[in-house]
Amino acid sequence: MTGRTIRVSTLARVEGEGSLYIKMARERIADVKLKIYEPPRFFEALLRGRHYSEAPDITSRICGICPIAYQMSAVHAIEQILGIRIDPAVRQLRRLFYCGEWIESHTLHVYMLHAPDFLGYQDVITMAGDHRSLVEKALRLKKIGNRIVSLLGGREIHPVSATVGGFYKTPTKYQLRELVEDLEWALEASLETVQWTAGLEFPDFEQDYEFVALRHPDEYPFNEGRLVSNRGLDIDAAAYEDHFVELHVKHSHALHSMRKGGGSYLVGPLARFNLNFDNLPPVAQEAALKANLKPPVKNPFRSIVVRAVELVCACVEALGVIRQYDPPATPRVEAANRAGVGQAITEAPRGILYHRYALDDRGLIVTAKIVPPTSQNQKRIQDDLREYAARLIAWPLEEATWKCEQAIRNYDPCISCATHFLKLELER
Amino acid sequence: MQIVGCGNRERADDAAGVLVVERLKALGVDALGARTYACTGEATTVMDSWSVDDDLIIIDVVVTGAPVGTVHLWHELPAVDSKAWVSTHGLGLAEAIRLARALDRFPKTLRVYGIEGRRFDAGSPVSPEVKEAAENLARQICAETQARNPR
Repeated sequence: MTGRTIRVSTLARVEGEGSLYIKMARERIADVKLKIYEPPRFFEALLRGRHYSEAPDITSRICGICPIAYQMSAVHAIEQILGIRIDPAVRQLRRLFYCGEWIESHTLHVYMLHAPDFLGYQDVITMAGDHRSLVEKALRLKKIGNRIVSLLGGREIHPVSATVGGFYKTPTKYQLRELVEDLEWALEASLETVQWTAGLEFPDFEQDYEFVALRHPDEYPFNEGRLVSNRGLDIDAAAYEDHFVELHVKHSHALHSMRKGGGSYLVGPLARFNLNFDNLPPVAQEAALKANLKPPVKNPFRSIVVRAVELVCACVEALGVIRQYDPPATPRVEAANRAGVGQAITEAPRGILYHRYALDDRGLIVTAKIVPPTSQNQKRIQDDLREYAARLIAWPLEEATWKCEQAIRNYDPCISCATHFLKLELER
Repeated sequence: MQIVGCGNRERADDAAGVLVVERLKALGVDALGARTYACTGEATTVMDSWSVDDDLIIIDVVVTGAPVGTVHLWHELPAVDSKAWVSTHGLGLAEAIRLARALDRFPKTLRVYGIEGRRFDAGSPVSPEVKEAAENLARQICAETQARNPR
């Protein structure tokens, strides 16, 4: 064999439109391209000239599965400019809001998008015939995440209640208490999910990653913290652009993020888990250890187990917020327009999401910059594929293609956010 | 009878299913014993909107190449290219119906009305042909509901 090509013309079970091209020549990988051909969406340009109050609603439209992350990064960056200090109860509600999104997103990915890879099914629908109880459990879990998002955000998709300074409307104690029974079930179901995912078969594949995630002194990160890595990075969000750069590559409509003077890095569940294990709730730590999951986890295929651990974390956090909740004196704090620049990073389900806004003295957005997690992981996905595909050179094309797609799905990529994903082409 | 309209009010002809449900509400079908529900079409949400005892009607916009405003009727899930499911984290209507069958949650009867659409860009108005088709379909379903539940 002198060479062959893997081509996946449209990647399945990922968000957005992209393709994969791998060229194998003389028993080595000659080229790997994760091609993102979904058209650019120009959200940053769309924000220019708009009042800051519109930013949470506009940016939430970037993604149907992680709109809260967009809203949270936007409101934190703008609140920094305006000097707003939010009510502690609002801060807790924002954590709960994020828990809802993580439950929705991680359940969808663990059971409906990634599990079929491990169990050998084309999709969750064919999987449902043989694994009905798993799919039923997933549907109920996701519905619970939807309930939280709907209660706090006004609706399940593209919520509308979050705003700079707080929420347009906050729930009553009674409304939150109504979620407790469902969340107690969800916690048990999430613990079962950790056990079940830990029993899946994982390829023996580890990489020397630079993990990048938020770190908060006392909490598993959602909205706040310093940006840290396992290679010594420890910065405030304001310094993000001093350490990271976005590059345009010809084959992708999504920019590739890199460490300045370095290479690719990994954001998302593996990074959060490895850098914040000590801040997981004890029940989540215990579940992880029982599943033989100890930091540092360097096998990206085991991200499915880490997502399950984060499901446990989200349920525990949500229950904690609800049990301690007292409604804020006022749902939101208002502030006068002020010119300035603000940056914020929050932890979307897929990893860190960076926003920077510059406002003028009328509160209008002069410039906006958004760096989504999939852009940040894109180069890292290619690096994984270069290493992983090299082990698949002798495999039948169909199986090699399937395995490469699975490796991409380790990252739960969101191409729509990144253009902002996948056909696979494997050339031998 | 459960009537589910799927779509996005802010993306031109994608609003077709939602328009039908809004019109049915205005025509008072709820008082005639029919339940109406407008949603985005996300699978887990839409599956929760019906029970196995329901006579279910689902309305959504479709693109088949037929003239804009054409109303299609299927009594089963229309054949959908598997590649239709490549580009979304959210499972759609077709997946909801297939998943419901796999999980024995299929309704007693199912009709899927598809209104042929033309444009789907954000903020554009609904095509006149789609508007007219939605109005006519709403009146047809309303008349059927009245016939089933004469007052």
